[in-house]
Amino acid sequence: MPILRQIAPLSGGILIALLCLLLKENFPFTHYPMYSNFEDQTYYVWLSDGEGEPIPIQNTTGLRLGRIKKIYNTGLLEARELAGAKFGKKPRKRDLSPAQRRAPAEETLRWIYDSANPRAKAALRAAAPLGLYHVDIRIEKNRVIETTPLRVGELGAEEMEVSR
Amino acid sequence: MIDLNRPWFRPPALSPAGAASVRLLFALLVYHTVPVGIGLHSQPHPVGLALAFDLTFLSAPGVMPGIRIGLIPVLAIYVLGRLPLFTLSLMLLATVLPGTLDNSQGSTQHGRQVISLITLAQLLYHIAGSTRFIRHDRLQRARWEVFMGQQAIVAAYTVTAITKLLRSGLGWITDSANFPIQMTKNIRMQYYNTLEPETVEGFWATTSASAQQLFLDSPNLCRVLLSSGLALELFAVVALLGRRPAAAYGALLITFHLMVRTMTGLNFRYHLAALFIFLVLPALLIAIITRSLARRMK
Repeated sequence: MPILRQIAPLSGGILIALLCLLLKENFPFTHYPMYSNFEDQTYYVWLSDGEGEPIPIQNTTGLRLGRIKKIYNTGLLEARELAGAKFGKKPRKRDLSPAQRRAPAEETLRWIYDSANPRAKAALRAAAPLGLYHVDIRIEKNRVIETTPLRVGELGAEEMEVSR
Repeated sequence: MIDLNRPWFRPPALSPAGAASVRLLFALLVYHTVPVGIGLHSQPHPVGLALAFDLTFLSAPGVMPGIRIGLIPVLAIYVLGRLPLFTLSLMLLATVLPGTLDNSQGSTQHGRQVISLITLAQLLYHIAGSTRFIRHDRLQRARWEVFMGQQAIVAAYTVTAITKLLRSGLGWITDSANFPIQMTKNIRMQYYNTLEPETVEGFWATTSASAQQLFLDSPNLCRVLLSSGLALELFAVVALLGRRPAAAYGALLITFHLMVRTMTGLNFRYHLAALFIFLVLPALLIAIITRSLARRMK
């Protein structure tokens, strides 16, 4: 079995690879799912203050929108599951109604506030009500098209007070 | 002709000082990976160890700074090559616990796993080494430690490629023409992170916008470029064929990451550092020592 003998020194690496593929997103294991499918549409989010003006959230809280979007996306996936259980067919994320997007958006805003340090919390309270905007992006005739930002959820100062 | 009697995969022939240099840089990387503080007081979407334990205690004042201070002597002992089971277990815990809490928020970050996986691979080697099946001397152990780090990195890249193919099949290649919308997403979020005009008008943003237009005008160019990245990940095992393939492959992967970073603004700092320390550096160290020995022999 010369081939097996050749591969034997790689047993550790093979074991790590198998554990990553089997255990998926259980830190420290990961199956690295990012960019594993390129859909023809995606979206981004941004945060606004009470006036509807964008907030530089990284400067305010240290949190980046890439991470905030993932939290919101997890909520959208749950909303999709809920809708599927209720209506028998899971809608695509892009087809979720504004009402279905509201809970994930508000949960995300609450998470941002809860994760912030006291100074950032004070800044967020001063900027309340916080808004979460969702913008869809797609390609059309060799051009990138962005939709008008949609305010999908908000968090007022009173709701911040009752946050965990 | 492939020679089956000559081992294809073997640890890099590092000197004791060379292996210690790799350990020193990896120790610094591990220290850098452990966060100074965490502000997460719940774990709404637990993963890994958080499924069994409440890790929010890590967010209590003083806990993470304490862990970082406690880690310093542990890393020093690791660099000296002593007590590997003890040091690697603690290094693994110090990286896995905060990483698990961070990824238990409903948003998975993929930067730091590679550091924990390298530590785990090295620990698994030393666990196996404590049995009667593996009999290595001190230098062999040091070289195998580096080799296990290389294997963990290669495993991570191979898994990335396998996941892409499992989820999208070869359709991934055709669909990769949609990559420009990912670039727009990243450019916009970079801007809204800080609202600094530099993020939309600066060198990075204009380079990214030019690349994006090029990809929109020539979708096949986009497919070729991203497919080459996929091939690079899929055949990462080539990096384990010796020090030169390791250095060449490491340099290629670093170049690919830097190119993607220019286009998307995504940060690959832990992967870049791990690739340099485990794939590129060993070849450099061996070359330096070989040259200095050759000079002395003259």
